Amino acid sequence: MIQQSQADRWRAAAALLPPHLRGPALELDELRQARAEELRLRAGRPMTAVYPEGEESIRGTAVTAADLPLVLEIATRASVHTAQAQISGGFLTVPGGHRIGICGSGVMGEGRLRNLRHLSSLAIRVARAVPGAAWPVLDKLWQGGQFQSTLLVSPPGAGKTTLLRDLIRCLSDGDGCPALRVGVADERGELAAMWEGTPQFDVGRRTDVMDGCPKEQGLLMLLRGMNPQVLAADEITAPEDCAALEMAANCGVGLLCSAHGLDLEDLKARPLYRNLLERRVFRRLVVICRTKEGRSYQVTELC
Amino acid sequence: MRLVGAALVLAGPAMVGFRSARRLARRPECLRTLHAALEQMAREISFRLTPLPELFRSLAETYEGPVGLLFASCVREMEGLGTKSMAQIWRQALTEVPLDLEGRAARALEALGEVLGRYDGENLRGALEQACGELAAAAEEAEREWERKGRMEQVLGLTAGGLLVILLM
Repeated sequence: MIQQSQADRWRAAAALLPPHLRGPALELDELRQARAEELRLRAGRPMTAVYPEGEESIRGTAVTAADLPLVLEIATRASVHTAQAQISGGFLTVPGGHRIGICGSGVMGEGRLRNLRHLSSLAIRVARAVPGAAWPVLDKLWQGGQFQSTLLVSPPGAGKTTLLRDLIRCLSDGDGCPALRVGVADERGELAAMWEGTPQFDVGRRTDVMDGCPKEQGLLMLLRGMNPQVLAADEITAPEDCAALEMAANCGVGLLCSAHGLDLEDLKARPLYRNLLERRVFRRLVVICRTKEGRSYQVTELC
Repeated sequence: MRLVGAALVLAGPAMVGFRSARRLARRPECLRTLHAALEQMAREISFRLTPLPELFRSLAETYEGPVGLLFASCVREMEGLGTKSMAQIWRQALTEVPLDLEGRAARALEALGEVLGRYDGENLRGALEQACGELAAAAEEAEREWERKGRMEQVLGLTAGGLLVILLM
């Protein structure tokens, strides 16, 4: 059942491809479709699929430079102008929560990157929900009946967003813990994959989602307007995000966030996160490690 | 009987002349309507960042005649986006709908198809403004052509019919 649903998500991601690439992507057997995490397109090279064990070519014709803008045209329903801000940021989230990473030649203007032209490669990351992914760590994030603010850490592609999404669902539905109201600042639209006001992923019954706006603004708006018990955000990267999290922590709201990194030592070496750790904004750290058998989680009590 | 025959002989060439004149009269109107529709597109893209499917649907409802049909055809064909590019959909709509475009107006609209759907707002607005400029100039040309040739075509049709009647009688 889960394999079929993961394969369905692969097929939805493959629907973003031009016909001559879509066919070979859909011809993969169901097990491969379910296991594949990314589709990679590089101009002049064969299309590849990324599996947990590595990247493999998919049989078929090579990707041409003309295919890459066509993927964006399909993904935006011929409305690239509506997604320009995201494209300038190097990625685009499409309905269903799939994320397209974009590489090309930057066009600068007024001191900032305004656009990407002459696209050279795209990485379509298949969004996947894994109900139950949070169960191995959930009970370690509570103390004395209180949810402890938690930071999830791993290198890119190790499953932070999937774990974060399932933790949000568990907290919101009370699946394995007391139910809490969760506010989600979904800047990139990957956590809930909102489509016309409805989340495409199960993020729980007591979850309010603010998507498409900068995280720090989303967090503060949720804090002011929705009276959350837990605030969640993916990929904390900017000082503004940290300031908003600190303010929320001072208001007694639990935090559930993710960040790129290797482990606690790696975080301590970076001023942005060192500051958050020193101020005890987070009380638990979950490090996600990829092993041959799958994923393992290491939970550390920070204070 | 001879009178009926003469009337029929007169009516044939006269009809050809009137139809040609009507075509000349319709063209500036069609070009001005297209110009208005493209201006609306540019405004929607500038101020509301409206996605193309929604924009085409609204234009198909707003404009009657061939211009409305052009956008309705795009909306219909966009269901198959992914098997066809937006440029192909636009080109197909231009050939299917009787817009009666020629010369610079036809070239401007065909060129617009290459930009639709795959460029940022700034480039899209630039292309729309350029197409609007071409359409406005083509509408003025069509107006002058109607003034110059419109009545002449009607008179020529009637005269040719009359001449044929005289010759045959």
